[in-house]
Amino acid sequence: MKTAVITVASNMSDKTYDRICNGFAEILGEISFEKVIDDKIIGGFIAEIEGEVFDMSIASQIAKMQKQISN
Amino acid sequence: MEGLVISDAVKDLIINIINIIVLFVIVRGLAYKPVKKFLDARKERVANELSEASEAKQTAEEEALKYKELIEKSKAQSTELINEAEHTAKENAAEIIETAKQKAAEITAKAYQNAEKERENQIAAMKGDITELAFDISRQVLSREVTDEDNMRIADAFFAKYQG
Repeated sequence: MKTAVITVASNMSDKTYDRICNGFAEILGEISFEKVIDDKIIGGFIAEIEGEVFDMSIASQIAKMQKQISN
Repeated sequence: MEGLVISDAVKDLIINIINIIVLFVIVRGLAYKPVKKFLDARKERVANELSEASEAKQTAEEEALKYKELIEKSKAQSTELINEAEHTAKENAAEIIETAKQKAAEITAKAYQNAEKERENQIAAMKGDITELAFDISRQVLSREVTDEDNMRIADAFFAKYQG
């Protein structure tokens, strides 16, 4: 069975976390989840499934914007 | 014979005249030619000496003129050399000054260029620092301001993209 590692900030409620897990389960079928809390991501989530990363964190969006401005 | 009587005084006179004539003839015969020859020789010698003196004077004058010309020529050459040297020195000085000016201008331009580049680098570094600071502040503010509703919206948007 596939395992998805979901990284979220501590301000995320269980309801929102469940929404994320259900969303992935609908797409990928049977899958287990592992929750990691890291406040560095600020908001949103990062999902790592079988080596593939889905980065929807606010921190990564800010980093992209910063890179664009710096260039 | 009475008619031929001559007084003693007249006799003496005649004898004296005859003596003088005889003496004149003798003296002329003996002394005139040598004396004339001596005088002619002296005259010729004096004339020669005068001629030589005149020639010497003329030669001396010619030499003096020649030396004067040489001196004038030397002076002219000296003046020309001095003028040429001054001209060359002025040209060299002008060239040196021009080269120095160009070098100074190049150094100044390079200094300005370096200063401008340094200023641009500093501005770029400052911009980078300011950007970094702004994003740090943004992160801190967002850490406080992001709500669970925001998280839900992000999740909905993500799955809408994959499920839609």
